[in-house]
Amino acid sequence: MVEGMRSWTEVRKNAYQALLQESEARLAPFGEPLRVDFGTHGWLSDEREESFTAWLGWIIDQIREPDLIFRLLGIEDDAAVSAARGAVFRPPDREVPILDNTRRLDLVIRYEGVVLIVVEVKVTGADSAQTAKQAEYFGWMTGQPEQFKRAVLLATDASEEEYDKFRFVSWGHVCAELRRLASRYRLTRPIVAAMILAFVSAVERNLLQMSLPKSDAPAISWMAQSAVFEHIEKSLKGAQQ
Amino acid sequence: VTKASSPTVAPTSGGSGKFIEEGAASYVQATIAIKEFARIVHEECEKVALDFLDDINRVMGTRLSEDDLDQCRKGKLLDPRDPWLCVYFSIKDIGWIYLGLYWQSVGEGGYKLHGAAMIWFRDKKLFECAREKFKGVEDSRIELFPYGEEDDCLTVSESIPIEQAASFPHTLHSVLSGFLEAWESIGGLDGLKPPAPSP
Repeated sequence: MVEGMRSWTEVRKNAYQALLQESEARLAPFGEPLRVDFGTHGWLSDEREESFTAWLGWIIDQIREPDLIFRLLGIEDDAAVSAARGAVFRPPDREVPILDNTRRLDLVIRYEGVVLIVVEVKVTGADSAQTAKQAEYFGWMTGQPEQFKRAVLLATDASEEEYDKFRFVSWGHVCAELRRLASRYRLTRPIVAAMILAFVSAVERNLLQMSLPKSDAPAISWMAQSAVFEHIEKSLKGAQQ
Repeated sequence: VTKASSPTVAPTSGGSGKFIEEGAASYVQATIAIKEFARIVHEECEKVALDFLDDINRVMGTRLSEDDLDQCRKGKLLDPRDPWLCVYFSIKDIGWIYLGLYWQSVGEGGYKLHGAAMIWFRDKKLFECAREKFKGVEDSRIELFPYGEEDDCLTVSESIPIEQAASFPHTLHSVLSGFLEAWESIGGLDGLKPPAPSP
């Protein structure tokens, strides 16, 4: 198998380089976010859950459109999207105290009177994070007045699709969607696009442990990073030209 | 100062020396090669599954989309007792449709490669109902392989000689066609519903 792979590695390296060029072009003038090393940026070192939550909340506040936010958070619910379109968007609340101040919700997004989305943010895998509180969170949600209520558990990976009614969505999915959004905004809202790409870089580097091989690295080093290129390829599907 | 003599370094025990030498030389490449092999198989399985998506929905009576297709975790972490590399659609309340490669153990550490399309039912009664329906269909390629009665799944499979392994996507086309032909003959998943009570 190792022998059979040798010539194939060059084919893949060429394909991955072409993919990087495409990503650069789609995100011009900012370029591929993984080229920036946010691994050393103290604001978003891997321990700082609150920082990731705050930045994500800021981005969601910039996006506002329900179609885009639902897609970003992996929520498939045409009826809720449709209802949210006609409602007032409220900027996301962070660290929302509930249950007599004994619990705090990471991120609460509301389309006034219609849709409530609660996002529980984890900077680790869902299985290693403490998810026992989710049942209480969901209990609180059921008492809220909005017609549509959706609970999302954002984590690096998970073995289950759902944790106490909180539906798992991966940081990988969120980053792929954010890359698409940055491509959409890059000419009309360049500062927002730049902030989104900086956040993507921090998440992909610090939480998802992604990095790019050096351009002169041997082909096998490029192939070893196939998951990174699959991620980039996924984000390019459906991105704005 | 007397320099302490180096302890005698014993080679690995149990005659594993040659294996360790070869492993030390090729471990990284072998790991990357295995991952890449699985990636290619998954990619080809996905292509075939998506080629047939409209047919699957038409025949089975489902409303699956591209987003419902996932890679099988079994493929990511290979279980040598049940070695699959495959993709699958989840069908709400029914089960899963799998498409991929299966290695059948043939004894003495050997494996025989198969392309397979399979449905795994969540519900035993639904599985039994489907089995009954297929018993009445001539030329149906549906069988229990690679599992048995207790596993609640029905499969169409074809063995693939190793020298033809590179053309496995062709076999996947063939087994998925056979799978859908068989299901069309019993009216898809709707065919498993109990008849409406007569007025």
